[in-house]
Amino acid sequence: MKKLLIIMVAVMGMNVAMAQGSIVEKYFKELSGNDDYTKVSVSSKMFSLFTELESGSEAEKEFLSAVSKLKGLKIIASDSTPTSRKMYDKALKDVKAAGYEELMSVMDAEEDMQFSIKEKGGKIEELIMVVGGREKFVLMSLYGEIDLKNISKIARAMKVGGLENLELLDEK
Amino acid sequence: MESRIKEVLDKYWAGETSLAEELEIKEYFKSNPEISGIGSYFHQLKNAKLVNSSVDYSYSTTKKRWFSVAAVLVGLLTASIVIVEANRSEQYLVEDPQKAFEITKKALMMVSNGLNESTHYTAEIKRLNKAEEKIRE
Repeated sequence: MKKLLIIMVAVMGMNVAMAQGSIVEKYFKELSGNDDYTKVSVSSKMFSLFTELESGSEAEKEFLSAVSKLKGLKIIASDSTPTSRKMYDKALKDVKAAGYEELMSVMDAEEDMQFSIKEKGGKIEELIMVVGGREKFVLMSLYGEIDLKNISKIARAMKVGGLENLELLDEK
Repeated sequence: MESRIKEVLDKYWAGETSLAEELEIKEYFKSNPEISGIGSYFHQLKNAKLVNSSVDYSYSTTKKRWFSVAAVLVGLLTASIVIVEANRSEQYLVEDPQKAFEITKKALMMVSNGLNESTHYTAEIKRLNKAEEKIRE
């Protein structure tokens, strides 16, 4: 009886561990035979390797500090799927059904984008990004400790870097 | 005998019996279980029959053992399914650090750009609102 209990607890523990990123997991399974989609998973071990890299620019520093708190990254993406619209709607529905809160959505002529989050104790522990364009579909899950401010700084820092380079060109 | 026991019982309820007399009562009920309430209850049970006597309500110890074996098997099966499922995503795991770095960078840039785009929009909407207010003034 004791053995049984231990096994059951172990199984439940595994399920809890699997819960994060599980929505992308579901799409991994669904699209496992479909080569139109690129499927990628990056583990927390890999993230810890990154942090040993030397950070040079401001953007890289922001990037590394954002990454250091992450536990995993899972992406499904395609640039050439005829059913992108359908996939996008389906993914949004699944994300909502899985209990994620919609954070923000952006719609423009080219593509639609929606961010959803899962919070625990006031901290974001998973960020889901869904993108749907003409033939484009992206479903991404970032999990671990997520600092939105930190992440949004990355692009800004990169842009600043880009502008600096432009100025240099002008001087020449 | 009957009248004698009645007499002793009356004495018993009055609390006047001697130890020998109490023993006498005890002996009497022991030898005639159907007289005392409990005795007749058990007597009834003895004569009662199951409505459907073909059903075997007793669990034999071997059956019990099979149940626990089945439960352990179910547990192991669930565990193996979970492990197989976990491996499924591992086939997409990036093992080259350089590649993983590029992918993560791209992914975070995409998220970052998306976040900035939406804040950019809200900023624009705020600006429009302010402009509208100014015009109204």
